[in-house]
Amino acid sequence: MPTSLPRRDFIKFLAMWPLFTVWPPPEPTLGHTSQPGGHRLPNILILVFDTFSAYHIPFYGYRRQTTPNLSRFANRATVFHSHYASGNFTTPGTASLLTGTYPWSHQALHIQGTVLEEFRNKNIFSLLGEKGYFRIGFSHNIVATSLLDQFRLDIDNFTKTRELCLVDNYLADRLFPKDFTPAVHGESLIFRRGDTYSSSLFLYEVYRFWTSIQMKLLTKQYGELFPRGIPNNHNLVFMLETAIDWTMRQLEKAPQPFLAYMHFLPPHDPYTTRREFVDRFDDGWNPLPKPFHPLSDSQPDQRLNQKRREYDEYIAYADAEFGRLYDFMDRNGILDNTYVIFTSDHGELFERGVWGHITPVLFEPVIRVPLLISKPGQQKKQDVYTHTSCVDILPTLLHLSGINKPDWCEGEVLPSIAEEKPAAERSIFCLEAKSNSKHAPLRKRTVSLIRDRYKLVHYLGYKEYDDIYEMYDLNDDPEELNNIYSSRKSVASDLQALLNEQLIKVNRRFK
Amino acid sequence: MSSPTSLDSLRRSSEPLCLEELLKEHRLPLISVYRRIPSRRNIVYTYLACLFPIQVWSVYNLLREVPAWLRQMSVWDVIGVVSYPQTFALFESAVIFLPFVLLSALLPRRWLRDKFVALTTGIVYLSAAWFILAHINDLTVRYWGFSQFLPWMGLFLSSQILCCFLIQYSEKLESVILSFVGRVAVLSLVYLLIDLISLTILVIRNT
Repeated sequence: MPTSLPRRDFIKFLAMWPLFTVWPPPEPTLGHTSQPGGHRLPNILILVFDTFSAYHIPFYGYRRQTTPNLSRFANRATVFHSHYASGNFTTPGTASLLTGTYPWSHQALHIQGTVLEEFRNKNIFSLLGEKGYFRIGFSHNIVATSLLDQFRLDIDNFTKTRELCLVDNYLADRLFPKDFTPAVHGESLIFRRGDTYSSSLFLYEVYRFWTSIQMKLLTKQYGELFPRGIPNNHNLVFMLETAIDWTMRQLEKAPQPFLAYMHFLPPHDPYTTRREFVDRFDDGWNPLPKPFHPLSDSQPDQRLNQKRREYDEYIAYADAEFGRLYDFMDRNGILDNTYVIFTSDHGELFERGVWGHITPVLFEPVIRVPLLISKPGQQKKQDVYTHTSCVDILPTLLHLSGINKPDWCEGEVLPSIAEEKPAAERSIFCLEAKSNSKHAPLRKRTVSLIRDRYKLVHYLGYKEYDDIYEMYDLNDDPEELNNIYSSRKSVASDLQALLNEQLIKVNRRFK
Repeated sequence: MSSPTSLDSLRRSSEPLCLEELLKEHRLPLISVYRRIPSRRNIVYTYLACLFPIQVWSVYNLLREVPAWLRQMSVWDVIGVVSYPQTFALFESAVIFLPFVLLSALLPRRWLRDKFVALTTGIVYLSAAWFILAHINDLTVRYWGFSQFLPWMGLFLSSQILCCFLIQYSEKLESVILSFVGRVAVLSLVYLLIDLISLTILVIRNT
């Protein structure tokens, strides 16, 4: 047997040498950036659970054990402890997440509102599409679907809400796909999906009769599983299980790299949890009562506590389904090649006489949302306490894909992912302006500014609560019980100046 | 359309005589059905009368929403949004009205055909009042079971029977209704025009 290497084999070995330099692949790091020379980009999975308040999650300090599965996920993810939505309901929150801009820029300020035309090409789907990502978009929430519909040309797999619903009586996208959002508005008026009367004098009653029969049949079929009613919203009836199963299938078959945006409705009200979670938190616990806010609708504490309990039980259901997805991803190695982002579009409030999130107030439970990011192969928990905003998600994903942050983007690359240290003092904004015109300066709105340990809130244009400031110290008073606006005048005036400067800037476009 | 001043013309109009004779000549079995179809003029007037409450309700509810839509959409989009309920009102009016024409063709002449305008208008307007009541109490009604619904259904049907009875036997009431129909039909023509424009807008927006 010859012991020396023949010349021909030596040349072959040399030709193979470059392969050895890239094999095995380097360990991924949370901050790994551009992929020069066409190296593999990471998959990105964004899981948005609608109306998920960080205040109701035990690893953020909540008393009830609502999310055992999310806690498991947190143990191998980066947990952002002070993450904020940009608004207090779906439209602004989702639009900011998808565009990396605050509501005053994208102007999706209203329920079922849409972003300005210019953002059709300035969003997560269009930007990552340039890098060859296969883009998947789905939303249970018809309000978020309106936004996805605006970006549909940049989504390779835009799955309609109805495809994952048990019942979906919407006609707009069936009959008028080219004019989706105005058609949805028109349809909502005809079939009374808001708080107004139906514009249809006679046929609405026929429609209602038909839907009640549908619901009765479904209740017969699934009533035992969902004693408080089958999960539904705006006449969409769905099961989260179906959407989670579908997500699993997508993760298995989607071409890589993929960007998947999955927006699930639970725990959005009505809080129709699954049988095993009903009365799980019937523990008699009632949180500290807080005084009614002047802009509240004066819901009594007893009702709020009952709703809070139902909400927590619905969270437990959403968490169980997330757990199923998490186990699937773990089992199938998806966590090893995918950035998994868990977040929400806004929170929910059960205090000060306010129930829900359609409210002018911006207290922490309605704007502070979870953000957990699991990098490919991450095994250990990492905690980030810096204030972050949903506008940061887009620049972060661009950073991971080697794309520079565009100048119009108002977010920053999230700390722990950015190479450089975050600015010590950064302002985080949140805006509620659903009563303000999209075409006019912000005259009726609530805006909050969070900076360092303080939170300044300014109410403008409300009857009997006009031009009022509130300020809270989030470190010493996380429950926002003591308005220190008058007592800490110097801090307040600094924050006020910052806020005014920002508002003058955003209102300038209307001059 | 001729002036709707003559109530008798509405009562006794029987335009399709030529076709009727033709059918008689060929001894077609549908002749008795055809003879019970109201005259074209009566159909038009009654349709316009039926369109009126449907349109008024639709426009009333639209106008409540327009300021909110203007806050968040361009004017062209608001026009688009308005077009959907308006076009639906046109469809709804046809769905509500056509069964009466069909019933007229099937029932004995005395029951409906002879007083088609007054009876149909009376039934539709009385129903409109009941349905508006249901809309106003929607949050209560939607949770009703069959047992709660039944007495109201009985009351609704009783009121309809009473209305038909009064129209059948009261010439004066019939005259009042016919006079009302004559006036309201003119106004409904405007609504009909708006509906047709809305339909055109929908076609433009979706092509």
